Amino acid sequence: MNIVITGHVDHGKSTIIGRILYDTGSVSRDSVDRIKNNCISNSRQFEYAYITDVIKEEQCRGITLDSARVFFKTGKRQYRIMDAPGHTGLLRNMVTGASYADAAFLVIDAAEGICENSRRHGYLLSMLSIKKIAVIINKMDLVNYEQKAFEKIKKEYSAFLQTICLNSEFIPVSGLNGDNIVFKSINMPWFNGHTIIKTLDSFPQEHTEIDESFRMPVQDIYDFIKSEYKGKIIAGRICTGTLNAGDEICFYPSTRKDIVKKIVQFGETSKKTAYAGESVGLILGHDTLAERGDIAAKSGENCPYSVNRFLASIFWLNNIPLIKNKKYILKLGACRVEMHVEEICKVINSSDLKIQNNKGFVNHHNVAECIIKTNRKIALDLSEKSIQTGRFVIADNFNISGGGIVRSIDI
Amino acid sequence: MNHIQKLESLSIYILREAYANIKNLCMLWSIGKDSTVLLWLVRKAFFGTIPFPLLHIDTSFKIPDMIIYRDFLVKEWKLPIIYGINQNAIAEKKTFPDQTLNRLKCCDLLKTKTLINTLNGKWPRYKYNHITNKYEPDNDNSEYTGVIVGIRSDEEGSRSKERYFSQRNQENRWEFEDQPPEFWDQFNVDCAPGAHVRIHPLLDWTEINIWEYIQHENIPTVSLYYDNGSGKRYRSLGCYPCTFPITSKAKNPAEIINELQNGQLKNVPERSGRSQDAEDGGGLETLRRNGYM
Repeated sequence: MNIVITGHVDHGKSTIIGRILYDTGSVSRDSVDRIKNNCISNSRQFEYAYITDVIKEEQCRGITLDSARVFFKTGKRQYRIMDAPGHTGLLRNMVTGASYADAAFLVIDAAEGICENSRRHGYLLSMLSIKKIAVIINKMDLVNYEQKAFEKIKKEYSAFLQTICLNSEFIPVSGLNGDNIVFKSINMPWFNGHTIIKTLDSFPQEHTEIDESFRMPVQDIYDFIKSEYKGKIIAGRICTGTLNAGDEICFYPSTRKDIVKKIVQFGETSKKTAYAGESVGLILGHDTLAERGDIAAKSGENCPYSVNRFLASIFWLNNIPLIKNKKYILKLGACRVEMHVEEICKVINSSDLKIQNNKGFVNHHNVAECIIKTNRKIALDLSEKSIQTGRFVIADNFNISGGGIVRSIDI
Repeated sequence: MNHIQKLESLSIYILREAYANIKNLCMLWSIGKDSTVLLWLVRKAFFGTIPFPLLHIDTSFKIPDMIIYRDFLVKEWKLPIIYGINQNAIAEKKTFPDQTLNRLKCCDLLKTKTLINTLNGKWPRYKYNHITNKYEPDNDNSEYTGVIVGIRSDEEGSRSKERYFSQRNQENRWEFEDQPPEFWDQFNVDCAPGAHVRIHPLLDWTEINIWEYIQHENIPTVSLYYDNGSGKRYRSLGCYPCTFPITSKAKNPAEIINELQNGQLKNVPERSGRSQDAEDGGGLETLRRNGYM
């Protein structure tokens, strides 16, 4: 399972990871002794964050770098933790790392409280559709392990999470002393919840999609000359649902229909059924014309919308602001289309949540609600129904510069 | 789906995105286990067809068995393949084995420079003719704007900073501090004129995943990876003056997996037999920033 640890800079992300590695026995005592001795001889205080650095170095074959992937195991399963940068300037790397996570921890310093990136990262996690979130209130030792300090931050941050439709457990910990990380704290008898590790193990492994209707964005149509397959092959990876040979499918936005004659994967006999996550090829009964960028759905199930105008929530990561009426490229599934922003309804500063209306642009690191107009009809879903076909990226001048989720088509 | 099936499906997805978006594409095939797994995945992604050429950078110092194995598979699978070589450096004996250069400079001339100039079409390319069974000068000198490479993020540090689609600028340099974001399986497929994109479908695979897949799919791999009775085998392949076998009795993928998980290789870096990495305090990162694979 992929976990991302986010939060404001210096709120103790690396220390917590170091503690997890140490207390789960993922790092040898020898290595830790070596670091401790090194600290003594350099008159530095030992910190658990140094363990992460050493592990990185070991795992990354002895070269200095900023890789942030470390592995550890519990009795239940294997985890890969990504330490997302807490600096505002590295938000695009935080998004890149976090977008591949199954679950997230958000670290807040008990003494310092909620900071700029505490909210911003929370906001981005919600936009990245990461639903499994736990908030870690770290450095409880600095506030004498007092429940009052914990409850105060919990109350304030819960209220914020509610505004972005997220729920979370809150765990009071001390990375420094190891309270409630792997072992239950004796310093906080007032806390009845789980430790970090127990919370991790309690996260369900699979994404639970709200709507399990079949969706497969068409990646390509192959008709290679020397192919052993007769007829065109529709290639794609199934986002959700299942497909059986013999099913009738419909391609959107064109709404052309055909029967699935065979489901093929090279080197294997034809499949009867294909499932979400699989990269497959479809051979159709009537060689119906499909195009790269179409979304295939199954007749009789909920179908995607075919629209050229919709309301979206977007986040912007480029230093050059997003502006109204400028041409951009929108990419959703395998579809690539020219677009512009027709209206910027409101801009939300992702750190202090201040809302501004009637702005003509969206600065980097901010979130906005806007009406997007594409230059032709495309197939899409509402993100609340189907995450993968309800989200898109916006590219400006060759580079992905922002992302968004489809909120409504009734505008 | 199990973990390996998920990795396979994502790699196939990435390969198909590369083929759909990039006009002039090729794939580096080093003959090693990773790029051979990649070749296997290409066959799966395109239903048995290899729709772009494989590119091999020949240094003339590859372990001879590698070249024998390369040409065997080329014939067997009817692979479209071209190779590039730095003929001048070899003729002028500007190499580490000729003792005129250090290892890093040799890698730079025989691999990095050759890669750059073969990709941009400035140096001659040699293409395998399946009728004559010979490599012949390739008349096509158009520039490749995308190159698929079989690197993995767990191999060594600088490779863990890569994206699935990483851009290289006009000077072939990699500005890793300033990469655009990549998320939701949407990739930065476009690049400015003169620049190119490197595509990394194996980024999430580990060394053990590679061997598990080789075992499961029964992928033919060069015999150098296995102990043939001498008690030695190669863990990572390259040029013979800079690549050394390890002591190991593993004779097949299952024994290699066991050795990596529980045996003597449990905490030993994969590229420890590759001497160029040790030079200049982190040679590979320096090499890679300048365009090395």
